[in-house]
Order: sequence, then structure tokens, then C-alpha cells
Amino acid sequence: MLSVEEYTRQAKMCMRCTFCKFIDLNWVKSLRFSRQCPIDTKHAFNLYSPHGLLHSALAELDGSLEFTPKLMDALYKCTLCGACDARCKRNLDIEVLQVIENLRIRCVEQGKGPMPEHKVMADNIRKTHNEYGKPHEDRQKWVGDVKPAKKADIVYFVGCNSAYKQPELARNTAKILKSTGTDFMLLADEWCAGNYVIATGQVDLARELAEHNVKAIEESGAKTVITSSAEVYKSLKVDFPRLLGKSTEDMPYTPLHITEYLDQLMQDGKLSFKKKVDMKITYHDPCNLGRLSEPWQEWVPNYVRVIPIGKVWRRSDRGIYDAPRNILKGIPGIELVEMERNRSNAWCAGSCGGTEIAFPDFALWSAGERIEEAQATGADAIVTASPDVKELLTKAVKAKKVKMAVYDITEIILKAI
Amino acid sequence: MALSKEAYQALEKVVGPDWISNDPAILEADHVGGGVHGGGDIKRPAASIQPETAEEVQGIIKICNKYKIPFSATTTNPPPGLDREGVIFIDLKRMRKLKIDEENLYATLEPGVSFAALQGELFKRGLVTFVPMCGGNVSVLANTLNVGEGAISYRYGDRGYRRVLATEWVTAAGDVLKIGSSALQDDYFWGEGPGPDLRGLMASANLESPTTRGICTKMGVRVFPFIEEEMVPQGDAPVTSLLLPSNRFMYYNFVFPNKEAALNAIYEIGKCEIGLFVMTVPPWFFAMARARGSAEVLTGAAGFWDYWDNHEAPLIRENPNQTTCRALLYGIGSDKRLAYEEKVLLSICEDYGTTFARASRRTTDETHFMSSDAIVSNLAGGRFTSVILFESLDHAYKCTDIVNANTKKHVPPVLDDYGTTNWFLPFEMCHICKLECLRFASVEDAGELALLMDDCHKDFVDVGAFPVRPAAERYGPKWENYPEKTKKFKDLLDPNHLAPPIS
Repeated sequence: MLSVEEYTRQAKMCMRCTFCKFIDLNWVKSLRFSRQCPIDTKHAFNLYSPHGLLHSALAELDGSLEFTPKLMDALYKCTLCGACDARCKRNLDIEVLQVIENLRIRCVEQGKGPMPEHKVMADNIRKTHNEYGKPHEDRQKWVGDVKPAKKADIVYFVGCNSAYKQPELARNTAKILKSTGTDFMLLADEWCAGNYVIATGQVDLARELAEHNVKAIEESGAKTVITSSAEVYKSLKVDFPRLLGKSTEDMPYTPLHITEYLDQLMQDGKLSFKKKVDMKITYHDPCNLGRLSEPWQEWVPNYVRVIPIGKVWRRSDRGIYDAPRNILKGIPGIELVEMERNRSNAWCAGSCGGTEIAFPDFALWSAGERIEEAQATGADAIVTASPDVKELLTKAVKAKKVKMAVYDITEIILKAI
Repeated sequence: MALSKEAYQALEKVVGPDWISNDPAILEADHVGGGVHGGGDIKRPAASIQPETAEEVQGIIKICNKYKIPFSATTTNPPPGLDREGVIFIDLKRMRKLKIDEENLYATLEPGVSFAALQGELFKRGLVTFVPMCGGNVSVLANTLNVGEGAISYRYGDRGYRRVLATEWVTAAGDVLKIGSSALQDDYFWGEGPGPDLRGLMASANLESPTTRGICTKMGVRVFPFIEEEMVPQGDAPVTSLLLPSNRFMYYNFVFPNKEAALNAIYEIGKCEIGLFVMTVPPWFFAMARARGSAEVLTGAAGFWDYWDNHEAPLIRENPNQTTCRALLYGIGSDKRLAYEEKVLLSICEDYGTTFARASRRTTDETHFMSSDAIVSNLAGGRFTSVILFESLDHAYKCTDIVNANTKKHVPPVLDDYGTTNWFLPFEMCHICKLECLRFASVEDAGELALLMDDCHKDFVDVGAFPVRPAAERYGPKWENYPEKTKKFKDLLDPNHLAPPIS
């Protein structure tokens, strides 16, 4: 969605310094966990790196490189986790992530992308409004005995994974909201939020989903939208505004992740945890909740020589890092230990960017790396705040045959309430 | 030029099919000059290959010699020699073994180990290394063989290649050459001999790429004792720092009325042997520091120029000679030592007329231990160049006139810095120093920076200054025809001329 001029300008700024491959250097504590780019760490060829993709973007633009299967392999294995983007903001200040996203858009525009599995996902969404192709009428099947309000100021946006694959997580969220006395409603016609649709470069469909969901929110009359899915959260906060040419602050609703909402209740003295949960845990920051969740600032490129006029940078330091930690620390009995790569340095578990859909083995490897890092902390369990990530980490634990419990944060919260 | 199927298959046998490729997309991503000026006439290599062991490197080089295939090796930086046709791009970043001998203060490592990773491992053991100003992400081995200076070179020694211990090389002919103790046993503790000390033959002392005669596959490098207290990282990118134990460290910024007073005070600080490092700080750095972070109203290039135009430039116009210095005082062994260093520093400052106009005292380090802020100078315009000299402090100071005069010839499109972006980093208690003259341009005007660099190098020859990577054809005739002499060694070690040429 960058103009060609801005896309070129940003890609040309890369001087291949390779900072994009490492976590913030002040946070490096070991050789083992010093790198941050999953495709680079796994494949090592320069093509499989942020700077390699930026160079490919320029080469594709000038016609010296086509979307070959190899380029598409690197382009779509990239998890769009944003770690490179966060790092580059310290040194070169390039919009690395936006260039890679735009390269995917160009790939789709030229009829080469996305990967076949992404096309299936898109077809499912067009037909059934969820990525799995399950009946749309089953979207609220999870509700069971939970009774959402018919009308409330808060909407709970469930998301495809919790609605269809892990309904217990949707029920957890609803029960938590109920237990805090929060009245909430569901959207009458919630569609897939489209995180992986925009990530795979399918902008037209992504825009259609954004327009539908925003309209549904507006029609509900609610001003706050809560979700427990990191992916949905990023869509509400970042993707919907940019697809509609707005900034987050101009949207007709305020998006909140469940952890933000509960953290605020704790700070206001309206929530405290009484039950003891004896557990040594480590927290995995989902990329979509951390690095990628800063408010979107719409900006029309305007330079006076080298100076971008009026641009407000997104640099990953305003992601949601503290709220989940505050909650976990507020639960009696929990010992929270940090992995070496945490907060804006967190290693991507592999489910972002549509990667897991097309490259499940690679995603599983990335999740396995995270499990090894979690094990190095001596924790009994790894907790995250995304149904997709929880699912993938659980698969990785099974594949590695290690003893490590995996929880969504709503499961831990429910134990403490 | 395509690689023959036979040669490709032979190479594939060495590393396995996953670690070699001649796919155009892979080769295109390797076909980058990188760095400030883009690297000139770079060609796509014929294949890209990723060995994991020295044996695999040797296997590759032998095949290169058999089929007369030129090669270029690298880890983090784009390699030299990619202006040739049909090159095999040897990427060593999979070679990441690291062993630290805590008791005997050295580390043995392979090319893929970065400075930040080594430093992180050393901190846990109460040890420290120099992290070069070009960034903690670079390869320890590659950087140390070449330049390898860091802030704490002030206390612990000169540039990297003077700290190299034993090394293991695969020569460009495909022979394994072990230098120092590694020739006798699997031990990288000392670097000399047996027989003549060959380290200088293989390493480059700033003159050319160390890969012109072979590929270094393992190196022993000195490390140094350090505090055992934890250096605690804090903050989220892009603004992070290390919290230093306040009983052992204290940063001081102090301001002198002019450059001469500042440099004399630095000499004095060296004589008194205080500090972990000391340096001058160009005002440009302050604007850079304020250009980051989303909490600022204006950040990035806009924030930089806003701060520069409205805060720094007026100060410079008011007093163009005022010079800011920074020292990190270091309580080696005890807090009493820190108190002593502080007393000595303040006494020197008084003697040389410190104004403390911009004085500060703090115990956080943003960049010097891990070099996290390297290349941040790009924020100003998109590209910068570093004209670098390693000279005595007073000679380096005289050379700044050359750089300033040449800069004026290029402004615009080189961005006007009021001649204030030269800075000095002394080594070995001020025996020698690095002078870095940063100059800035937009991405489109980066070529102008290359011309500026060339102009400076031309003039440096006349005053006997020693820049990094001098042009061999220009410096050779003045300096004992060293390129001709090193070519003889190259012929011996690279008879088929397959490694990058001496440039």
C-alpha cells in the first residue's frame, strides 16, 4: 500500500548493515539466542533475510528479478513478525515491514502469489467468512451457557480460531468478562478479521473484510471492542484503519486486548486475583500484540529534501508488553521468569504472516526454537495471549516430546478468578 | 558466467544440497555491494554456498582450484571481489562455534560469531571484549583481522589485528595453515610462530581484505577481566541501554572552550591512566540521540533536523570551537578506585578550563559496550561516509583540516555539518587514536561521498596519514611499493588467483 516512489525510497535506504538479523544488541545475553529473524536463522542465505528481501524488492521493480519459486519461498516463509522493522528503527529507520508487505502485494497483483494454501484460505473466507471453511452459522456455537448481552457498550470480537477451533478460549474470555461485571455483546455478523489475508498480500479481500467488520461494529453502537486474539487485535488497531486510509485514533471504536482491559481494571482497584496458582511460567509476546500493535498513523509521503514532514513513526516500543505481565504478576503463586528474547525482542513462534498456513513445518521449527528458549528459563509452562500461537506452541511441545505446559493467558486468569 | 554442472555437483557433495544454490533469487540477494557507496560494479555470483566446518571450506576451495572458479568469502559484510564474473559466494555465517577459556582469558571462535554474542557470553563470566564502532552485529573474526577497534581499546590495547592469537586458515590454494599454538595442538592460546610470525602475512592491517590470500576459519582472540555484577539491559527498541553498576562506573560529559584544550586534557587523562575510555563527542551525536524514540514530538530525520537546526547549530555558530568530551570512569576492583578516577578527572577538567555547560553524570550506556547505535548517522540523510585515520592524536587533529577543506568542495549535496562531525577515540591510553570524520548525504547523492573520500585520501598521502583501506595504486608508490610485495605472498598462497585481488 506504499506508493511506488515510497516503496523504492524505503528499499533503497537499506545499506545491508544486518542489524535486522539480531535482537537489540543491548539485550543480547548469549550466542544461542542472539538472532531474531526466523527465515535467516533457518536458511542463512541472504535472500532469506530482511535486507535480502528489500534488495529483491528493488530487483523485481527494475525487472532484473521475477517472482521465482525461490523468491516466493523466502517471501512467504517470512513471518512478517516485525522484529527486523523494530531493529532497523534504531539504526536506519526504514519501513522494512511495509516494503516486505508491499512485495507480497505486488506478487499477488502479478498473479504469482499468494501460496496455494493462502488461496484456499481466501476462498474459505469468501464463502464462509472464516478461514477454515466451517459453516458461518456455527460462529457463535461456542457460546453455550454464556449469555452475552443483546446490547452493550462493549463488543467482544471473538476471531476465527476461538470461534471454531478452540471454543474454550472464547468461553474463557466471556467468563472472565462476566466475572468482572463487564457487560458485553457479540457482533450480529462477525466475519474473519483478515489478519492473514492482508499479510499474504490479498488487499482487496482484506479491505472487504475490514469494511464489513467496521460497519458491523458501528451498527452495534458499541464504542469499545475487546478481543483475546492478538491477531484480531492487530487487525482492529492497525490493519482496518490503514485499509480504510485512516489512523487508529480516527476509527469509530477503541480496540482493547483483554489483557489491556483487565490490567486497567487492576490499576483501578476493580480486579484482584484471590486464588493461588502455583506455577513457574514464562510469557511469550505474540508479535501481533507486541511489536505489531502500535497505533497506525496514516501518512501521505511528503519530503522536503531528506526530511519526512509530519510523519509519526511506529517503532514497536508502544506495543502491549506490560499488561499481560502485570496480570501474571498479580496472580498469587505465579513466578514469572523472562526468556532472553522478550518484549520487542521476542522470537516469533512462527504463526504470523500466514506462514503456518503455507509452511507448517517451518512454523513448527520456529515454535520449537521458542520452546527451547522457554525451557532454558526453567519454567514449567509457557503462556501466551493468542489462540493461534498457543495452538502452534502446543504442537511444538508435542513434536519435541518435552515437558512444558502451554497456556493461553485467559486460561491462567480463569484459574485465578 | 554459469558454473559447470560438474563443478556444481562437486560443491554440492561437500555441503549437501540445502546449502548451495544457483537460483537467480538467491544470487540476486548476494549481489549487493552494500556499505555506504554501494560497492561499484557488482556482478551476480555463479553460486552461493554455506559451509559449516573448516573441512567444508577446504573442500570448496580445492574444487575452486580444480575448476579455476574465483571465490569471495564473507560473514556479515558484502565481500570484496564480486566485481569478477563467475564468483562462488562463500557465506561463513553457519560457522558459529565459540569456546571461552575464562581462566586464561581468550576465546576461540569461528567466523559466524558476532561481537554482541561474544560480549553477552563474556558478561556472564565477568569478562569483556572490544565491540567495534561499526556494530556489535559484525563477525568477531572478520572484524578483528581487519580493523577491530572499540571504545575500550583505550584501556586494553590497539586495533583488533594486534590482538589476534592463534588462527586456522584455508589458503586460497586449499591448504590448511595453522599459525601459533594451533599448529602444535588444538589450542588457540598464543599466536606467534612456530618459526616466523605469519599473522601479519595473513591479516591485513587496514590495507586490504584479509580474504585475498585465504579464508580464516578459526581464531583465538584475547578477552579481558571485567566486573562480575550484571549489566542490566533496559528499555524497548529503539531506545535501550545497559544499566551499569553505579559503584563501578560513571559517565562524564564535559566541555572545553576549544579543541586544543580538549585534546590536551585527553592526553592528560591517558597519562593518569584513568577511565575505561575517553572520546570527543561531536554535537551531531546529540541530535542523533534525540532523533530516536516515539516519545519525541518529532523523531527520525525530521526530529534530527529540527533539533540540529534549532539547538545545535545556533550553539555551534556562537562558539564553533567548543568541544565536548566523554569519559567512562571505571572502578576496577573497587568503588574507591572510581572515587579516585573521578577526583583526577575533575582536577584535569579544572586545569584545562572545562565549562561543564553540557556536563552530565550518569550510569547508563546506550551504545559503547554493544555498539547498538552504529550507522545511526544514516538518520540524517540516508547515507554517510566515514573518513577514518589511525594516527597520533595531534597528527589526527591536523588532518581534520584536510577533511574539512574537502568537505566544503562537496556542500551541497553533502549536508553541511559546520565541520563539527570529526571525533577522536584514543587507544592505548592515548598512544594512538582513531579519527572518524562523518559526512552525510541523501541516498541519491551517496556517490558524492565516495568522491569526498577519494579527495581526502589523495591529500592524506602528502602528509603521511594512514587511512583505512587506502587505494593501493596511490599509496603503494609512496609506501615502499607494498602492493607489489604483498602480491608475491599472494602468488604463493593463491597461485591460481581465485581469491579477491588486492585492490
